[in-house]
Amino acid sequence: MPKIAGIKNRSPETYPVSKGKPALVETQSNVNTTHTVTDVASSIVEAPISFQAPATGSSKAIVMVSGVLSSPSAGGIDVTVNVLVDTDVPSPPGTVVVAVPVADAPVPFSLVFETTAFTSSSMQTIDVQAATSAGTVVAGGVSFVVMVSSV
Amino acid sequence: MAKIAGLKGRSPETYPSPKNEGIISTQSSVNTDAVTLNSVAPFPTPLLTAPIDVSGGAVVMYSGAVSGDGVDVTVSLVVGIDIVYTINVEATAANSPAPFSLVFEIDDTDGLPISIVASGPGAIVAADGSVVVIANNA
Repeated sequence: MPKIAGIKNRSPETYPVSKGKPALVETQSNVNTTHTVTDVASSIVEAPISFQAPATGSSKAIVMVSGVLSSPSAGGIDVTVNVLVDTDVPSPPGTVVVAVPVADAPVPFSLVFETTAFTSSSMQTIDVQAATSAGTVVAGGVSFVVMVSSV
Repeated sequence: MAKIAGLKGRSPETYPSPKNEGIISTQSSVNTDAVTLNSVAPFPTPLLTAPIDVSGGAVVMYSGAVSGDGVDVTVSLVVGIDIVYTINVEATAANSPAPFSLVFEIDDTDGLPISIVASGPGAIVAADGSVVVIANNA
């Protein structure tokens, strides 16, 4: 219990001991209103999110994505959504396949994924890309949140 | 309930105790394999490769997809052997993945493992399972 000076007639228990230092948490986010997805993988978020890993200790990032996929003209399209860490290396586990069965019927999707630990002070870029099995769909209202926390 | 001094004529219950604001830690798991559910509905199938052990409170986030031919799939969050949260996902057609996600906060896991299970009638496959657990270790 810390020393409390100058307090009369009041219980020291009124002033609790402060908790330990919380884990360092940093968040970044953006929203992309609309993006056309083809059979060639392309980013569906407004922009990739870049950050520098904390200088001390280890850190990880929690990636959260939500949005809708809709086909303007034809159904029966599978869309693969991938989380990419460091842009050039797709993280296969951060994947979801979404079926868009009919035209003009938006299909909601979301994806949560935690990266492996980052090297201290390393620069990281996280992107979310999608590609169709064939044809074209529109990704709408894609919300992208990255939370970096110390391990 | 925290001790409250100097309040006259007012109930301490007016001032609820805040939630823990402690140190967080995270755990996660990804199941890269497609999981074929048991065809007998009462016997749910684990969707994670292994249960996740945490202590204290936890926020659980899970995302994945299910595919089946016109069936309702029940997805549950289990702590120990207790089902604490359940959602139903409709898989409208075979080979047509229906994405879903769930988020749920557990006040206290009591040190029991967390798992995600699913069940439903007929041939159902779950895939692309990813879980993230933010544990409050206060």
